[in-house]
Amino acid sequence: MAHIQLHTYTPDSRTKESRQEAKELGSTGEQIATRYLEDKGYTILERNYHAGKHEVDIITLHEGMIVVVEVKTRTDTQISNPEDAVDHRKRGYIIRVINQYMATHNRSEEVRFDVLSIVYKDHKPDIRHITDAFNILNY
Amino acid sequence: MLIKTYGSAILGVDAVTVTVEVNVTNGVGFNMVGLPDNAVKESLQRISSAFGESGFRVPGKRIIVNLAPADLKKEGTAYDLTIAVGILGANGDIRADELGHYVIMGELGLDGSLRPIKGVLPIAIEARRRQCKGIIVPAANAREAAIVNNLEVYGAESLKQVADFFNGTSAIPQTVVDTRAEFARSLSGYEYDFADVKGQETVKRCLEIAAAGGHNAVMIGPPGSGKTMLAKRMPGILPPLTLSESLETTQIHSVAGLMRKEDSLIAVRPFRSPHHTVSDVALVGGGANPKPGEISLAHNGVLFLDELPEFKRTVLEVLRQPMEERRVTISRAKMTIEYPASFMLIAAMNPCPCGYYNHPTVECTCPAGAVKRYLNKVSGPLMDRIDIHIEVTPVPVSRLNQEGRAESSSAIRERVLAARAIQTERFKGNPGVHCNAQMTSKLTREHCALSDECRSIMEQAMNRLGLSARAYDRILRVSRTIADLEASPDIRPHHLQEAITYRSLDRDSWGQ
Repeated sequence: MAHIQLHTYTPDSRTKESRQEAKELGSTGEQIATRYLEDKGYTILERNYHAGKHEVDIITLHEGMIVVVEVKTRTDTQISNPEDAVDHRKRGYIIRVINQYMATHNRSEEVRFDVLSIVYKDHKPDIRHITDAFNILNY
Repeated sequence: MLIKTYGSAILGVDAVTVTVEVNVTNGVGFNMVGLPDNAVKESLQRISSAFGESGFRVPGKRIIVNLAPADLKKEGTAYDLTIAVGILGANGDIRADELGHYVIMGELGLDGSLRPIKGVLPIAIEARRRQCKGIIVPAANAREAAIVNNLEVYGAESLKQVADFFNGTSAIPQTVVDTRAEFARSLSGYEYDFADVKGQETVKRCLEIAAAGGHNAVMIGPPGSGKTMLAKRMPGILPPLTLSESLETTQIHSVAGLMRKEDSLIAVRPFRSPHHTVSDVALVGGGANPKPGEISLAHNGVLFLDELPEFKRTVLEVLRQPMEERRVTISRAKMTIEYPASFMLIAAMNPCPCGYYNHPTVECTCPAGAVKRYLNKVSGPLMDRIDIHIEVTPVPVSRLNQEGRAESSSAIRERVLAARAIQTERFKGNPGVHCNAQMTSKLTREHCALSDECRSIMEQAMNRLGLSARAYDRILRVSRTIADLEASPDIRPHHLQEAITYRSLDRDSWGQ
């Protein structure tokens, strides 16, 4: 049970400055992602769409399909792969948020879940687009 | 779109139709209801991966799966294919017009291949009862399903193949088994023959009597005297299975998942010899998700318990009721399941802890009383159900070296069959009684009337050997069988005398 306590009670160990930095990195990443997707012909429908306390980064329309894009941005000093950061729980949230979006906006398209990973190498973003990163069965 | 596909749940040795309803609607998400257990929930991961490998996309829609009847617990991996095909049909990836005419079951591998499942025979029987057009099962199970006639059986290798089948883009060859021909072909497949056993004529004679009258028997003898070797040859002298008996036994083995890929029928009498460390549940069946036990796997065959006194007391006690009723009933709060368990019990044991009591050349080193104590490990009520006690002595080396073969199993079986025919005639008016061993006390008195001469022999024996009252009926039944083997309508003195010698363990002097 130890690991649960860690999650619940240990406060964010990062300093205020580093949290701020991370936030900025994230929003820069989302801007890069938006531009990238627009270049590829995706229509951006929503950015940072909230439902309850959860949000998804970008909702787009592409070739008659709703494509939900989760953006993960990292500097290459960080170790793990960005796409791994979209874990089982996060995927579950995304599916539920989108389900609500579909209902409130009365949409009937099929949905695809993508992950866009952006890794900064020597101050240049390296973009990887993983289509169909997960689905409603294996999230 | 709402689509229905059909699978089956196994209850006992029968199958119950499970309807898998899949609805794909607007929105996104997945729900499965209808009491799926963990293995069924895990199927989603397999389906997801199998879709990817087979060139299908998991639809980005809201999918609801209902397994009906919703109050029956669904367990195991066999619903993978039923659910996967349902999703494909509901999403329009495959044509759905024919789906409802088939029962579709199988376990999916991550690569979309199909793995064998349990209980295909009862599933196929249920499919025919519902007048389905056909059944689609993993290729490894196809022959097992194909013994059910008036049902098209297709053995598929992969999810892709099943999808192509319904789309009409490629066919799956139909598996056809001629049940009767198959049955006839596999009838003679006994591995062991009495011809291989040198000496031991008296033991063979006892086993012949046991086979002829359906009597349970226990062999008592020192280590290495050939008890196991003899027991293994028992199924070969029993009457051949009838087709309906064969189907019953096959059904149990199918539910237990013990059918081999190349087999479609169990046409030889099963021989089961559980180790003496077996648990109660493993022997009689049961468990949280009930499974047939060894006694049911030995249905219509021989259950061999080697080292009888070494079995746990409770294990032997649970045997008693099924032996009497020839089926075992497993009750749970939610359901009651019955497995057939009509078997012949052949037990083997050492006479004492050291193994050499009554041995012709080696002296028994057991302390006083040890022989009785050892025997007492087996309860009276169980011993009561064993008609024949056989003392087995080792074969001398000179005999082992002798050339030539002993009498073959098929020759012995001829005599057994003749004796059985007499019994079938005798018990025509008594449903449920097929052989002498199954006679009730009333029937015993009716069919085992003794002449005055016989009566006095019996009296003498009871007094001189100190035989117990329970031995009395047993002796009568066995002597009836011995008389039947000679086609003698009356029990003659020498029949009775022979029967009396098969009650060694009842003698007062045993272990003194």
